[in-house]
Amino acid sequence: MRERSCPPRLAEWLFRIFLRKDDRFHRLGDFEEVFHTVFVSEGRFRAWRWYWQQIVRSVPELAMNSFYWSAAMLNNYTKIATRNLKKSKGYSFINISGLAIGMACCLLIVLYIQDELSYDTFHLNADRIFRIVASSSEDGIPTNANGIFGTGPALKKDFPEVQDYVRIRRMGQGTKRYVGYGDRKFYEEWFFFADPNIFTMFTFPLIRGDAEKALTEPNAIVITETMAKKYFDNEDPMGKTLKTDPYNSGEMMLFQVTGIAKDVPQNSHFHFDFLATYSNQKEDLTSFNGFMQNFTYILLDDASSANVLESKLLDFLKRHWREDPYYTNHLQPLKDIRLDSHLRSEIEPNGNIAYIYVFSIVAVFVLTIACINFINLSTARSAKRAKEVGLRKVVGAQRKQLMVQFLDESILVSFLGGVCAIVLVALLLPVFNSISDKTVTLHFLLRLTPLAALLGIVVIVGFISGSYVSFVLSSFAPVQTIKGVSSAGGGKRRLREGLVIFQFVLSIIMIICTLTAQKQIRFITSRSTGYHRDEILVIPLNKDVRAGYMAVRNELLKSPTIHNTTTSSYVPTRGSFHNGVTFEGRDEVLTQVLYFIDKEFVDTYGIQILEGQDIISETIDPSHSEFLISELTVTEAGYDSPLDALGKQVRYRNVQGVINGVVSNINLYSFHKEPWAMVFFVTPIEYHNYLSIRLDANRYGEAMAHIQNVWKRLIPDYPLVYFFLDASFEKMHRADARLGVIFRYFGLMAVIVACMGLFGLASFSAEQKTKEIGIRKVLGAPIISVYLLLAKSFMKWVLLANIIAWPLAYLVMKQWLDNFVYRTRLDLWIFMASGLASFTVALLTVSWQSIKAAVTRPTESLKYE
Amino acid sequence: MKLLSRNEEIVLLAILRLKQNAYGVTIREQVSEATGQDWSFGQIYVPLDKLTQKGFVIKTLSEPTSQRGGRSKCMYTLSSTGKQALKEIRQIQDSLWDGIPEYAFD
Repeated sequence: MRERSCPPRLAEWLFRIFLRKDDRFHRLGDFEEVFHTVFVSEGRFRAWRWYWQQIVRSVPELAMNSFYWSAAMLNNYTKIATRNLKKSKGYSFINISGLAIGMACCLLIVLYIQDELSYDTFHLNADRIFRIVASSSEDGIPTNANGIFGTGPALKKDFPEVQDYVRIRRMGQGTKRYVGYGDRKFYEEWFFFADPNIFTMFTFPLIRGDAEKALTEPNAIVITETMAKKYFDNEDPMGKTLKTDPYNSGEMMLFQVTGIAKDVPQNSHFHFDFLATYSNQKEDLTSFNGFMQNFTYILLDDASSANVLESKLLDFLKRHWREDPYYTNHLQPLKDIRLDSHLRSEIEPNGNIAYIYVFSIVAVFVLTIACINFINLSTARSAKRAKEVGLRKVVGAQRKQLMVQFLDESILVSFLGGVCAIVLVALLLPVFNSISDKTVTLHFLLRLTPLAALLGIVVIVGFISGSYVSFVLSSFAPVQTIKGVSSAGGGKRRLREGLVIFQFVLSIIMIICTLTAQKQIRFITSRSTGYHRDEILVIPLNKDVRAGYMAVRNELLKSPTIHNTTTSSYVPTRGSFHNGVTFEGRDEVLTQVLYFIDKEFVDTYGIQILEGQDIISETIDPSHSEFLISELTVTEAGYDSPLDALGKQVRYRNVQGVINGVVSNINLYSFHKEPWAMVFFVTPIEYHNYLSIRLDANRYGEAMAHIQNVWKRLIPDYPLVYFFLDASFEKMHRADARLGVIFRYFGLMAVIVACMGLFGLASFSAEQKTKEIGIRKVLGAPIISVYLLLAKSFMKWVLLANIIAWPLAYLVMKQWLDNFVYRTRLDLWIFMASGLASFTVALLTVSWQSIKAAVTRPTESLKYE
Repeated sequence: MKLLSRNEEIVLLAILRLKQNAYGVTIREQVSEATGQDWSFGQIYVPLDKLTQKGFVIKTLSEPTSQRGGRSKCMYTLSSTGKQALKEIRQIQDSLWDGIPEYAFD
């Protein structure tokens, strides 16, 4: 009596998976036979063990085998698919390129987003680093990214959760600072003083030098790789001395190179070229007064202690500074800076999370349009494939097989589209880089995330489009299709029309957005800022100019092309200094933007005086100063009107006097922000940083030549460095200009893809109607009527698309324009223009096919049954 | 035409030797004995499938047996093309080995 034994169920089940379907049953029998033999001869345990051993050894082979077979099948399908594609080159081209464009857009945007989100993430401590920002208003919204010197060390002393702090002080903003080694002399923009812990708290690796000690000693400096090359070529920079003038005062400071750092990667919210020992600065580094271009970062023991710490900061300020601080501090997470932070005095302009949203939406738009195209074209052409499907079914193809085949075709097209997309992206990268201000190279693409994203997109697009198509196509009843009854169209037609309309809606919206963006940019650039920015040239001051300013000014004014010159502590678009000012009639100190000027400032800048008069006094007397204030200050100080403000007392530190005049508001930076309340008064030139020259814009060449001449003669030791104020202003709006460019490109692409779709459909429709057209012509219809017949239905769609698109676009643009303090109007002509554009484009697209169909001789069209 | 791989050749020869009794289990035994290594079923099935696809072996089903849990066996025999392929590879082998003396391996 033999025990009925069975092989282990689990193992059998595993085999079932890997053995191919056809032989599965019988091969399991093989296993069972041997199992029994072993069982009988050696017992149950051995038998079981043998079975499991077999699994472990066989499964890899079998797995590969099944892949091989599936691959063989796929290969077959792919061959057929390729043959099909080649047969209808036109449609295939439209399909693939449409998809390629859509995918390329998506890819570029993925690259952009990936880069933006990766900012500052390379620091090991990134999650625990916070920046100290200040808010000067009562509602506690941070306004300033920069801060005072004393906060950092005091925080570490007072609070145990603050493990470390690093302060950096930027010296290169506005004017570049002199740095020289031997005969290599340049003006540098990214010169910082930094605390020694910058290399341990942040992750800026050093190629040479000791990270712990590089900046602990005074008079030390760490330079980046690129700077090492720039100043030392192939010489070893370590230990050499650089001559620098960080304060732009003429007093040289010498620093010894103690380290070479790797270049700061692009995705950092700030970049440095030089880091010098913090203690070398001239100012009192424990002071709690005066916001310089100083930035404090702290490292917390745990990110969650941030909130609690922040609530203690007001008391902290009261303890160390004064009973009544006129600003409070807040903590800003390091990783939020890039996308969220738009405070005053940011080291570098930051990105905007709004852009990420906008771009994502745009990408999805274009990709959707491309997919819709694909689906439309494929289903529209189903009539042609109907016979093929019918035949296959007759010969025995199962529905599932057909579906797999059509799915495979879709994925193939999608895949080809993906490949083309990569090529497109490679071609478009330079344009993309210039628009987005990045330096993305192709090997960014070859990293895991973008490739995975692309693969995902390819598969999803292919799948979604393909499944619908294959569903429709494989459902044809064989007899019907062979008989020639065209079952394509009908109920599906509504859907297809809807899809085309949707495409056009999207395209029209993009056109409207583009036009609006252009209009807004033009509006902004032509709007007045409150001063004559298009005629002003600015030169940073240096020791020699300060010393001999009167002589320089007299020489400059000798040419009729120079209207006036002035010196000031700051100029618009180049930094600002905020501090507290006391006004008569107000108890609390008001924070104002302070400009130290000379008496020619108002005239040189062409600022309008609303009430009162300009500064007249030739001498400077701190106890009897003349103040000019802006319109906004009048309101802030609580005066009833500019007239009312005249004569009121003002005090700033040890300078006091009366308000001489009220000037109109000035946009100091860009049109994104409201103008700021400003206070102007005269100080000696030692406190000024810029020389501004107003020249005759019509005789610019002459003026420049004259300026250069004077400079060469009177200031021979310093090269002439200058910038134009309007260029500086325009830079502030680059982001918006860029957005406009982006809309233009994407809008163009969306329109192209939509047109492709329309073209495909139009040709299909024309083909469908060939017989009808032929008959009509035989019956005597003129060509025009045939043409109208075809074109009419399409035009109706475009009209509908316009009707839908206009209100949507209006809403979107309104949202965007609300970002601006000064905005242009959404005129009707924008909408009409885009409507006209869409009509024209659609008409052209449809016309070609329609005309071709209309002029075909009836004999041709009626020939085929 | 691509030549037979080593494994395929071994399997074909095993089938030939087994005459009418070639199926999964017996082929595996034969091959394991001849090579001295314990082949797994997977190593047998994969070449078998390829050979089937190429048309070198013909598959037939036999009677079910209780020992196999009521399943039938897949019996394999060589087709004419299969025999041809074997002869071909033998010829190639012979011509390559021809003229190499024994002492060439010292």
